[in-house]
Amino acid sequence: MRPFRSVRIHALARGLAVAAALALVAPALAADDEIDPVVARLQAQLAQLDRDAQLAGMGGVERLKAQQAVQALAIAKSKEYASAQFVAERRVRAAIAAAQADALARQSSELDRERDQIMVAAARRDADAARRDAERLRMQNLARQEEAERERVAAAETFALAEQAKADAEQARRLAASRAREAALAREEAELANSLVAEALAADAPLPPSRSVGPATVYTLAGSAFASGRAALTTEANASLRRLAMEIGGRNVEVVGYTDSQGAAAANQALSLRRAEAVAAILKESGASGSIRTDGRGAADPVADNGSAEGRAANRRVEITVR
Amino acid sequence: MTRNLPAGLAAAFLLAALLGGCASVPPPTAELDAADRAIRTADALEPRGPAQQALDEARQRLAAARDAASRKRHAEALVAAQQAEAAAAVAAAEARRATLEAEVDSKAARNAELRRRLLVQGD
Repeated sequence: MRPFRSVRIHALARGLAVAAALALVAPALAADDEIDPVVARLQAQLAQLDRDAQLAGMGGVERLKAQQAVQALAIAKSKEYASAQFVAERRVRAAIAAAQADALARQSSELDRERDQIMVAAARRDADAARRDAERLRMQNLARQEEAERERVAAAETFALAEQAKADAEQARRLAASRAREAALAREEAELANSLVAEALAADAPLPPSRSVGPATVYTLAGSAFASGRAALTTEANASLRRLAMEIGGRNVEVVGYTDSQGAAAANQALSLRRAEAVAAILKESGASGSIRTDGRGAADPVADNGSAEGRAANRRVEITVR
Repeated sequence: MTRNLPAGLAAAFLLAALLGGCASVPPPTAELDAADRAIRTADALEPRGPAQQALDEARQRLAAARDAASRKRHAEALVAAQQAEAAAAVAAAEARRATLEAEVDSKAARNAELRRRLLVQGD
């Protein structure tokens, strides 16, 4: 227990000091040699709270109430002391807790802002990724377009080459056709020239030797008109026959072929017929318009001796009977 | 006698003054209400541990204050009501601090998870 007078004197002194302490006078109180240790402890707790930079400005109302309670304790009378200490102890404890709670509240708000920043950063990163994807797709699309364009150009070039080849082929075909026509015209011209020559030759050619048998005239085409064993006529014989055809006109004709006696009879018969038909064909194409009968009699009806070469030549003949 | 009269009067005045002083303290209605509000506020914050003990203490002091007030001992009721409010202030501040500590821990863990999931994992 404190002496009553001492408490009163000290209470007065503390009262004055606390009045000044409203303007930060803890040191003034500390200067008091007989300061109440409880007050000193509580003051020290509040001073430590004030020094804590992280808690600066936190729990303002509770701090003020704590300071007031400590001041009240400092001037409390003896009978009020226990109650004032009870209040001051709790007010200081509440001030510390309130300041720390305020700091935690600020930290909580900062964490919310940090979360927002994370979300913004994530959204920005997603947007960047989306933009990169879009750019990549755009480049891929561009590459595909370029590839398609290259393929289109290549196809066009291929088509152009094919068209050119087709055009070349068509040109070649036309050239060939043109040359074929040219050749055909040349051939026709040659044939025409040949026929003109043949006609000219025919006009000047002598008629084959003839004899009269009753009303009919028999022309004899000598065996020399044919190559041996063949039915083709010499040029002179051909011209002579054309001349004869002009003489015959529309009268009926009988053409009979003969051979010499050499060789097989059947072969001779066939050769004589072929010679007769060759003669008939020339007569017909040269203007003989009447009926023309052909026959091949082989070695029959010889007109000379087959024992000699001259005789056999005479026997190889075609007789043209004009009626 | 004459010398004792002033002394007797003085004693009588002193007694009267003491009794009158007690009787002159008005009922601490505002303080009781303030203590009651402080307790309700602290109770809403669901204090645990030392904060819960502070709240219990506040309730005891408020009960004592009401008891004193009912017996017209207003000075005693006033002191108990002030004690009750101070104890309730401790309960409220410490309960709020505990809640915010948990909140900060939770948000820090959440941010770390978000950072890992959204910013680190995707890269």
